[in-house]
Amino acid sequence: MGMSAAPLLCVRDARKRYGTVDALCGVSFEIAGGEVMALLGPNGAGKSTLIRSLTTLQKLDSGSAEVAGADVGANPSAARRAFGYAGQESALDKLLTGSEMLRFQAGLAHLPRVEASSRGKELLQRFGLAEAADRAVETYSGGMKRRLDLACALLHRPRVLILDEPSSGLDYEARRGLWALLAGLARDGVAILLATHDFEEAESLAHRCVLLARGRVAGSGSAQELRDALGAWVVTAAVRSAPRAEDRALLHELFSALGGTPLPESPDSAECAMAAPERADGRVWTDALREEAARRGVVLTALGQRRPTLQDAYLAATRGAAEEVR
Amino acid sequence: MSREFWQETRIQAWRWFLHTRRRPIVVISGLFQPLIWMALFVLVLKDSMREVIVGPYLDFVTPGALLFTAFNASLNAGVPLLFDRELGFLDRLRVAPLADRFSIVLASAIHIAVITLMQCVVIIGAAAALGVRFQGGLLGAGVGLVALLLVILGFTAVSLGLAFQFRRHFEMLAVVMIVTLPMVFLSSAFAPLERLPEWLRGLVLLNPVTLAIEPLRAVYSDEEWSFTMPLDETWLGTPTPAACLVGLAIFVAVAGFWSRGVLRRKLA
Ligand SMILES: Nc1ncnc2c1ncn2[C@@H]1O[C@H](COP(=O)(O)OP(=O)(O)O)[C@@H](O)[C@H]1O
Ligand SMILES: [Mg+2]
Repeated sequence: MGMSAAPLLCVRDARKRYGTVDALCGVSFEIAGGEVMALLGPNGAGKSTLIRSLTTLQKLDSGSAEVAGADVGANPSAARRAFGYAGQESALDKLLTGSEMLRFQAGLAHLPRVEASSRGKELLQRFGLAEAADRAVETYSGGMKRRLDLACALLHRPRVLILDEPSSGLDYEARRGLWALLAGLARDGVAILLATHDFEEAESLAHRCVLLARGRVAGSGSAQELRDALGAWVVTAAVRSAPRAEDRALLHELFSALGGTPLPESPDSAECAMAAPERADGRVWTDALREEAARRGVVLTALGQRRPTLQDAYLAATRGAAEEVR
Repeated sequence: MSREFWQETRIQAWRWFLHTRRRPIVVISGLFQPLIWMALFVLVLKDSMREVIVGPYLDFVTPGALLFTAFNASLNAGVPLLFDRELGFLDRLRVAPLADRFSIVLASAIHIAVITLMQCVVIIGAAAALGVRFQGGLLGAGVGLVALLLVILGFTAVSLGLAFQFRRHFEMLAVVMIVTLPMVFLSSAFAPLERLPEWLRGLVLLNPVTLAIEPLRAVYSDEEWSFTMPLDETWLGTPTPAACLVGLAIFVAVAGFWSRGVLRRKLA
């Protein structure tokens, strides 16, 4: 099954406010069956708020969300039957074994006993937990817990899978394994929404990304589209090794003079960056930049030029909008 | 109730019983506590209480120990749910397509009621081995068990309600600790009503622990007990075992109603 046209997850103008904090201010997007969507955003962007609202753990102030046609606010029970959810922390009972956890989950989802048992076995097999099925969850590794959590979320064959940072706390091998499982689910037609901080995860897994900043969609599209939208190149330079406001102003002026777009930088780095198109004259940007600086009597360091990454696109869209965490 | 509701209730109760099986120490320690109490009370206080209590002291203490067990276990019924919330397990239940979230509370109540009744049966057996028995055969035993069951249901409801009212388990443990002592001592568990100061008697009578212990004590120590026999006089009137049981049932109804309201609000 490939991607089907009808969206399975639909968010329209979602808004949520906590006291004076606007956690979500009008978020909209859709996810089709077979599609993986990454929700990228800095701390406090509203990812968890959105995910908790989609999974009926809390209510939106206004706007709406539908899972497989069921409105999460008006018809939460139907929505709960349609989605599977795994939170950021694995929510397992460590006194139970893997197969007992699945039996428990099957009871919550009202699967008939025979189906529950065969489906449980199938998932344990598929997620590489068959050998550990009768061991207490307490003895599982982080990766095994994550996989069991995911198996629980999938037990009732949901058409939509909602995951909050599914690979946090996993080592490289375990992460790759998880991605392969998720990619397989998407091929089977499941719509997947995953909140993540991990650009590699988004690049390798997601068909599309939503960049969330301060409760707003700051950008969306495939990783390729987001990179292309930034420009052909990211060019970096610094004046001194310590960050100073006047150096920053000078670099921004240089960037603008050459036709680049200064990118928002981190306040504790001396390095500034600009997004720039391909040069018509075929020269490299670093040479042009060094020359322009020399004409003004400035010597640049840390000169560099590279193709934009998803992280660049993300930082360009979300920095400045990010909450001051420090 | 629907089949789905019973399925989800059964599987949740199953999980709690698995917990008990894998951590039997909780049940065993819950059992030892009243047995030790009883032993100590008999050994230490028997002589000093001689002129206070007519009849054998063990007859008097057994209902208290039973009540203490039922009360204590059920008042802590909500604590595992609080741990579930703190560990994020409650979210698993909240996103599951449950027919009615009341199953979360019901499963917990069933588990606690069964375990606590089993503990009570062990104490009843131990007392019987020492010669303390229900008077009036099956009816007497029935009245005793009904009184215990009502206490368990009422305080389990209170505890589960508190579990949803509080955010953290230590807050709840603190409140339970503060409530336990006065509830036990401002009852007729360890001293008869008639021995309490006049002004206190009425208050003590309103305590559900007293409402349970009076009929329990009647069937334990009075060979001629009846549902309508007058118990000790208080300024609230003179209760009978029947009136006590009715009062206890009202307490259970109120506690259940309140608890369900809290659940509706907090789990919506
Ligand atoms: N229960 C809450 N009460 C008050 N403010 C909250 C609550 N939950 C989240 N917030 C605030 O809402 C904003 C979004 O938070 P969150 O959705 O957790 O972001 P993210 O998951 O992207 O880090 C933050 O400013 C956060 O402080
Ligand atoms: Mg979060």
